[in-house]
Amino acid sequence: MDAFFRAATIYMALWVIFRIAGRRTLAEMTTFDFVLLLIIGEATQQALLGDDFSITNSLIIIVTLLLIDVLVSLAKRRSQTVAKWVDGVPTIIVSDGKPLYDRLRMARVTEDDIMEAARRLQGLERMDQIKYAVMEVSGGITVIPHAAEPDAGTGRPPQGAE
Amino acid sequence: MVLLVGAAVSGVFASGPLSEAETHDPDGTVVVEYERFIRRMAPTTLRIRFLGPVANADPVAIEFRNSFAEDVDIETVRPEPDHMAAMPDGVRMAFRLAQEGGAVTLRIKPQAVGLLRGEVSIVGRRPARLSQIVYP
Repeated sequence: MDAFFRAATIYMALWVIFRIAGRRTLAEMTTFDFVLLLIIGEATQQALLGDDFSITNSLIIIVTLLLIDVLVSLAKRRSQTVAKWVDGVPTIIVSDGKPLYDRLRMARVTEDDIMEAARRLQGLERMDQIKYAVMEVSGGITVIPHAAEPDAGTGRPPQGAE
Repeated sequence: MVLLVGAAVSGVFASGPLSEAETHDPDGTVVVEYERFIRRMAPTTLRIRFLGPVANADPVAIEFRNSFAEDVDIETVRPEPDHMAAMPDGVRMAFRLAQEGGAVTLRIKPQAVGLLRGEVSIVGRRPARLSQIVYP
């Protein structure tokens, strides 16, 4: 019984913490972020297991965590409101080549981050080539180029258009 | 998955309402509260209450037999026994009781998996028997 409540408490506490910390926290991982993730895992492990190192205990905790996760995803499918609460909604951060600065600040993203995503995903060079940039719920940035450059996705310069 | 977690909450895999159990010796002087399901290497408590005239015997000596000899680590005993003595198949402890209904709490850690059979008795009397299932 206590294994179940420990797992459920940790799940909810971590959800609250990471919801507050924001999506970008661990989405774009630097080496240090990776180390941080490991330390968070270590710190959580103690609270999850308590002084019970049996196989039974760890299996119950794993099954409990997965079950809660499945239930939450089912609830998200059923209701848009729940999905919005659990994951948040995608945010448009660049509209028609113009960065929306207040949203950038809220999401703790810089223009450099957007350009990095634009280069990597679409091979774009300048901000004005971006139609929309969206901060997805997963924490990543996706970029939609202007339709005037239909082959921008290939990474070739616009002159290469047929 | 739901069934498994439901079983865990109810105590089938230790620590829960279904796991709580109580036994006593034929005279009803020693009552042992224990957990039916326990886990290997996880601490569990054994609470022994003394009822009736035996409580006035001072000190009262109790014997733990069978599984207590080998398969169980006794981590703490509260209150501390006055003295402990080894037996071939268990251990004997003597306690002073302040009053009737006094209780002794043992924190034990099973080291083996499977069925544990234990006996708790006041010296010279018939024992209270308990069996516990130990999960890996």
